[in-house]
This record gives sequence, structure tokens and C-alpha cells, in this order.
Amino acid sequence: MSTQPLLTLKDISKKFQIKGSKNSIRAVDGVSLSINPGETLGIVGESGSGKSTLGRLALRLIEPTTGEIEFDGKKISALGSTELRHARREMQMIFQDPFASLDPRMNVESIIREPLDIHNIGTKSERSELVRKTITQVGMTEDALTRFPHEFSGGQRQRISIARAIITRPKLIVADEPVSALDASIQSQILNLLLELRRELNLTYVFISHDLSVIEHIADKVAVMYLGKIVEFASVEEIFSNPQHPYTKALISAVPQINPEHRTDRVVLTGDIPSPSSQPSGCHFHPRCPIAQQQCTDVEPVLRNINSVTHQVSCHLATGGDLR
Amino acid sequence: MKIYILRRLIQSFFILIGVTFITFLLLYILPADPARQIAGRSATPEAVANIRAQLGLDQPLFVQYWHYLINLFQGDFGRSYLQKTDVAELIQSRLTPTLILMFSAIFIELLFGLAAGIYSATKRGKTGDKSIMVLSFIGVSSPQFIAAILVLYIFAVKLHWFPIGGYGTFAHLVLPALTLGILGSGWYSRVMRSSMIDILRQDYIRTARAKGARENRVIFVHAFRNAVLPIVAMIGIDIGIFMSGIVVVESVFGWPGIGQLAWQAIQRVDIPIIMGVTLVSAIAIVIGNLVADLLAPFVDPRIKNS
Repeated sequence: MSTQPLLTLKDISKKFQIKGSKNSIRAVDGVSLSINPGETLGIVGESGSGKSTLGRLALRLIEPTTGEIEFDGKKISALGSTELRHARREMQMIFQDPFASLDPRMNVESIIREPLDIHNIGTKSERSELVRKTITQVGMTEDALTRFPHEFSGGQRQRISIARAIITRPKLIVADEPVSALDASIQSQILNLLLELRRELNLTYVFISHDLSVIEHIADKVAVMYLGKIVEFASVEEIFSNPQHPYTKALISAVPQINPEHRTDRVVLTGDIPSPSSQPSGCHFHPRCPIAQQQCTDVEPVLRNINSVTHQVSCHLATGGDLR
Repeated sequence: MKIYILRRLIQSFFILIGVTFITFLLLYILPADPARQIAGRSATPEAVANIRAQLGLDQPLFVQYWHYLINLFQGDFGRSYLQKTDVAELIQSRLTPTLILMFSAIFIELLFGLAAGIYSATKRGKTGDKSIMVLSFIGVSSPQFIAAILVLYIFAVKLHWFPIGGYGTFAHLVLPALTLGILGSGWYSRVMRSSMIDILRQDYIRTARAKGARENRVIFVHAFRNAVLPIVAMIGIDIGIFMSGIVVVESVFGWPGIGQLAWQAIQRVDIPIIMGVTLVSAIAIVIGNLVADLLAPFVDPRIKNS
């Protein structure tokens, strides 16, 4: 572990004030993470778990309430607005909805070229050269450049988004559910494109998804989020072969298996994710937990190492073995 | 595209015919008697009847309307009862001042309305936004004749900054254009504000910020260009509202446009002029809407396909 992490989040929290009320929502609650260069970190969780907020916090697209963000040796959380804009060159984001994330008034060339214009990269001819190169890199043809976003399908639009994100040669890309708006057949194409680009451009990804099979395909490490907190963190192999948190187990058992012999008993969670404005006592997961005990309602568990330093779980009952 | 324009023009033709018929009907139902107006108060009933027969006003409604239409298709708008001049000529001589006033007022509406709307949207919920929304509400709800008289009283009568009325120099234009423009900008600021707020919530605005774009670029390049679409359609509709306001404002400021002409004609039941002005206003509204619709694809590339 001698390599310096590319991105480090230290005790990041984000509270959203509810209008006209004293209550606030703790969308992200004291999360610490680090990602090494070249790694892909998958963040999974239900909707409302705070995973998208965490992704945006990582790039400071929204301001954290508390905590520090360090990127490539720079304290992102302390940068002024001009420095932050310059830093955006190195860290880009791909959004979930390819139908909403592209400016409908701009043609594809302007969309992809805009980051170069903003950051003043290259001469005019170099820019258009780079735009043409990038559009082919994401598997599209140059004639797409003069057209407008609405003329493309969801998969093609997501390719345009990816081209826009990689054109400044960023080190980090936060992909917020980049394939969940797409058809299954297109999903794998986009995932493979992202994997290919990671190799070619030496990218580091933060990959946010609610779909564990997508995470399994792309991630090296996985953080499972529940109600704004990380409840389990491990390598992708560990998470899938030896999940420790009952919530992780439930998520994994919900992944459809093609081979019936591999099917395990489905852990069905009852109820919905509680509102982040009125969090349960003790372990936030206890009202839905199939194995909850008295201490779970009283004492809030903390993230602790289990088995190895790279496997962390926040559950009183996790033992490292299979406790199902 | 050509077929679309042709279809719209044919539609417009029937709309205009409808407008002439409704106006004609309303003037026919009106208890005021144009023959009595022309003849004067002391005229004998015979003289009045004579004038009525001369103008064809004793004929049934549909015969009168038919005659009007036939003449209209030959380019004849009729003659003013009182001024004895060609209505077409009268309107023509009044059109330039009205167009000057209209474009100045629309310019002011857009300038103030869009600026206030953008400002409000970016400062949503703050004091600046709230004050602008109160002001725009006053603008939207103020009757033009009261505002016009107030503006005239303060800036011309009391402060002597501008002439009290008339036409000819730029100074004459300022007060009527400001009255129409500032009242009208209330609508634009409200529409622009809600449109901007809607657009600023869009993902592509977040994308622009994630690209590292300056806030000015985010607002004016990405948000503004998308938010302005409803405004373009609104200008088309606005010309209609404008045509009714111009009657009041032109009369108050003595601006020799077709609004003032209409006001004078209404007072004297000068039917050919009222018909002519109504028709010209209707044509302006129809053209305004057509142009707004034709411009829409240039403002929003998504419209081209449909």
C-alpha cells in the first residue's frame, strides 16, 4: 500500500435543510473512503441511500457540510471557486440520464469541445482534431458531430457524455448510474467501453449503481451504502463471496441468477428505506434486519475491520464467517 | 416547411374573415347611431334617415357585411364617415408611429423582463427575487390608463423631463414606450423566471458546472438559450395584448398612431375606421404568431423534426 490514494474522503457529511422545518436530512453521514489510481470503486445502495450525493460531494459539485476531500494531493474541499474550476479538468462526471444531461441547444461537437474551450486546452485546430479523435474513441462516427443530442438514442447519448468527460484527459471519473437508464443490451456495451477507456487512458472510476451485477462486472472495490453511511467495504471478490452485513447479503441475494443451481434463498427485506430525516436508533438498519437483536436497536455500530484490513463492516453481529 | 407556411396563411385568412365579421356584428348591435353622429344633434329625422340611406346603413346586416367584404377584397377599406378620407390612407399614415412605439416597447419589455427574470431565478427566494416579483406583479396588474396618466403626471407635468405628449423626437417616444414596456416586462420577467428556474434544475446545467464552466457561462450560454424558448412564443401573443394597450397609451400621450385613430373613431362611431384598425391589428397578431412559430425551430433544434 505504498501508492498514494488518488481520492480521499475524510469524514464527509452532507445535511440538507428541509424548508420550513428544523429537521434536516443527513444524506451522507460521516463517510471516509479512499481510492487508489487505476482502481474502480463501486458504490451500491438503494435509492435514498446517499450514493449519488456522495458522488457529487467527491467532485464538490455540492458543498459538503463537514469533512475533507483530497484529490491527487490537493485539498479539493479548501479550493476557491476559480481553482476548483481549474481542478475540474482532472475530475469529470458522467450522469445517469443521457436524455437530460446534454444541452439540447448545442450540437455534439460543441458539447464535446466545451471542456477544451473552458480550460483553454490546445489551439483551435488541435481542439477540433481532439474532438474528432474522441468521438471515434467512444465508438461513434464523425458525422455525429454536426447533429444535436435529440437525434441520438440513449446509448449513443451516453457515449457522447463519455466523450465529453474524457476529452480533458481526467484522472478521475465519477459515473453516477451511467447505465441504469439504458436497455440491458446497451448496458454491457457502455460498460465495456468504460472498461476499455480505463485501460487506454489509465482512468480511475467511482462507479455508482444500484445494480450489483453491474458493480460485479466493473468494480475492484465495493462500498455498500445505507442511509448515508457505508455499512460494508471490501474488494469485489470479498463482497460477493463472503458478504458480512445482512443488508449486503440481501442485496446480493436479490441479484437474478441464470443458473438455478446457484440460486440461494432470497433474503427479502420488508419495508422501505426509512426517511433520512428520522433515522432509527442504534443500527439504522435494524427495523428491516432479519437478524436484529436488542443491542442493534440500542447501540450504533461503527465500521470495523473484519478478517482483513480491506474488509470493513458496520454490524454488531458480523463474525467474519457465514452467519446466515 | 413551405406547405406549413401555406397552411398557416390559409388558416390566417379565415381567422381574419372571422374577425371582420365579429367586429361588424358588434358595431351593428351597438345602440350608437353613426348617421346621428354625422348629422349632428340638431338635424331633422329626415336628414338623419337620408344620411343613413346614403351610407347603406338602412340595409340588413348581411347585405351591409357583404358589401364591406366585396370592397375589402378589392383593397378598399372604405371611407371615413367624418373625415371623408380613405381608411387605408389614414391607417397607412398612422402605421409608422405605431410600429416605432411597438418595437421600442417590446425592446424595453425584453430588456427589463429578461434581465429581471434571469436575476430573480438565480437569486431565488432571496430579497432581490422577492422585490422583483412584487414589482412585476404590480406591473402585470396595473391598468395601462392609470399607469400612463401617472407617468405623464410625474415625468412630464411635475419634473418636466419629457414633453407632455406628441410625436417627432426621441424625447416624445420615451414616456409612452416606457409605460408600455415596463408594464409589459412584468409578464416577461415572471415567465423568464419560472423558465430559468426549471432549466437551472436540469442535468445539463449540472453537466456544464461539472465541466468547470464559469457561472456566467452556465447561466447565459446553457440556461438562457434554453429558457428563452417560451419567450419567443410569448412575443407573438404579446403583440395581441399590445394592440389593445396601444389604444389607451397612444391616446394619453397624444401619439399619432393607429391606437389614437381607433380611439377617436370609437368615440364618433366611425365604423369604416374601426373596422380597418381592427383588421390591421388582427393582421399584426396573426403575423406575430406566425413569425414566432417559424422562429421556434431556430431557437430549439428539437422542434425541427415535428
